Amino acid sequence: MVVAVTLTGTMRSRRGWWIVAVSVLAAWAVIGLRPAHAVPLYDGIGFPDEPYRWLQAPQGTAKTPAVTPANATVTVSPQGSTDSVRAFSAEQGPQIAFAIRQGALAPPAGATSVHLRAVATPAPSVAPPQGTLVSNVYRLTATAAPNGTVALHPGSTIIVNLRSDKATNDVVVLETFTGGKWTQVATTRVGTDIYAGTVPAFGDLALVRMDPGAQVTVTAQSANPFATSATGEGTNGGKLGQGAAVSNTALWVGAGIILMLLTAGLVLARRRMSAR
Amino acid sequence: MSLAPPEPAGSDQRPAAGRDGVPSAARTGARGPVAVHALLIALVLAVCARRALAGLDPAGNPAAGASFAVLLAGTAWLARRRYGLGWTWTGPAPWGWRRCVLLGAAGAAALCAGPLITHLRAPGGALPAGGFPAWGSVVAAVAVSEEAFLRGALWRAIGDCWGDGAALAVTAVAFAVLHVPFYGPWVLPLDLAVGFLLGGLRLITGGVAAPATAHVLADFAGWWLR
Repeated sequence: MVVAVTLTGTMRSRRGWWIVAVSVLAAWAVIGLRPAHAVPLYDGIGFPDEPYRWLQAPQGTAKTPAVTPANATVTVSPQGSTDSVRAFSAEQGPQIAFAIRQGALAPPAGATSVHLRAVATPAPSVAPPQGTLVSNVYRLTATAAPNGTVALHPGSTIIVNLRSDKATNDVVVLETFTGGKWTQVATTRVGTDIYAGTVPAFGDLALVRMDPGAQVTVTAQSANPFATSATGEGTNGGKLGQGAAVSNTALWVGAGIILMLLTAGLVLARRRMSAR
Repeated sequence: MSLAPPEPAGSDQRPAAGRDGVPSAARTGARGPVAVHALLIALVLAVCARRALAGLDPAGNPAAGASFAVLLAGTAWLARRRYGLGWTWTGPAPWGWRRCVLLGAAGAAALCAGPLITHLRAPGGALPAGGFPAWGSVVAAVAVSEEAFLRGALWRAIGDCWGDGAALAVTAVAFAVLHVPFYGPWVLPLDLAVGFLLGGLRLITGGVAAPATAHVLADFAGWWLR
């Protein structure tokens, strides 16, 4: 009897070690496929964000430390290409993050490195139509060393994540400001208050909360953070406007179906127990 | 909800040895499936309550998280004390507290190795240590209560009916699915892998302490590994 129990325990233990080893490899594989700075959150409570740091604080907002830039430097290879690069501002819950894919930058001949920077800049006098700014206006720039300006290769884009001043169920859109005009960009909500989009050029951009009934001229991209998220904070994505509500409905319906099935199982199990 | 008759006062400690040396009064028979269904219903209700309380910030609401922890821990405690699902923190020899905690810490280290490499290559910005105690206490409460419920009470109920393999699979899937309402469906692959890892630790040690330690430490690491 003792021998049997010991063998069973040993077999169980051996199986457990195998399961742990395979699970660790599987977890590493999944982590490798996630965005580089997706929080390794297996469970728990979301990470708290500090109050939004405004460059030009609206009236009534509390005083905060100064807003920080996001900086990154990438080396230019002798063939003139660059590696992928990401940068985050230093707030607790970065207010801006951006990512550029490998080979997307077009540095001038002779450049040895490219410095990328996203810095908060005063909002232009032209307000976004049918909306309100809910983030700082950030200026994305790229400069080459020793000198020169840097553009993107045709067809390349910059992935941008912006945090808004607070969570909202209103429609929030990423907009660029070029030539005195605001332009909407397809936007995906990738976190509680984080929005992602891709822009085709360096320049000024910000988040805009659309007025009720305002016309949104862009469509939402995939809500999959694997596709667009540079920061990965939270992953409760949703499409523009109705996304969160649809998601909530699906959740409640799903929970209701599961509960009904479990309750039916419970009733059946109790009947069988009574029959015995 | 009646899973099994309450044990007589003062006899809650190890009334009978189970297959891994851990007691259970609700073993096999027709009573087991009732316990499994009742526990799964309690889990779904707890998830719904947390989601409903969380408002706009499903994953980031500490009050909702704390309520969730209380509901799960209460159910696990009730299942153990009142209904004889005798899960334990530690397992049979040699898996005492010290070894369980060490194994759990090793499991957390293995889980965090990948994100650590990413973080060292390109730091994403750690959060300030000052905010950690309040956040960490809620996170730890949620993690421990989840382990007490999943790898404790639910594992025990399923294992008694259908064996440890079924307990491993169902608790891993439940672990992954319960996070979807808070973090989105893309957490399924990672949380499924982590669920099996935590179940593996439970299988090795026979207790809840090792997976609970791994769970808490892996969650804590997220404060720095950004």
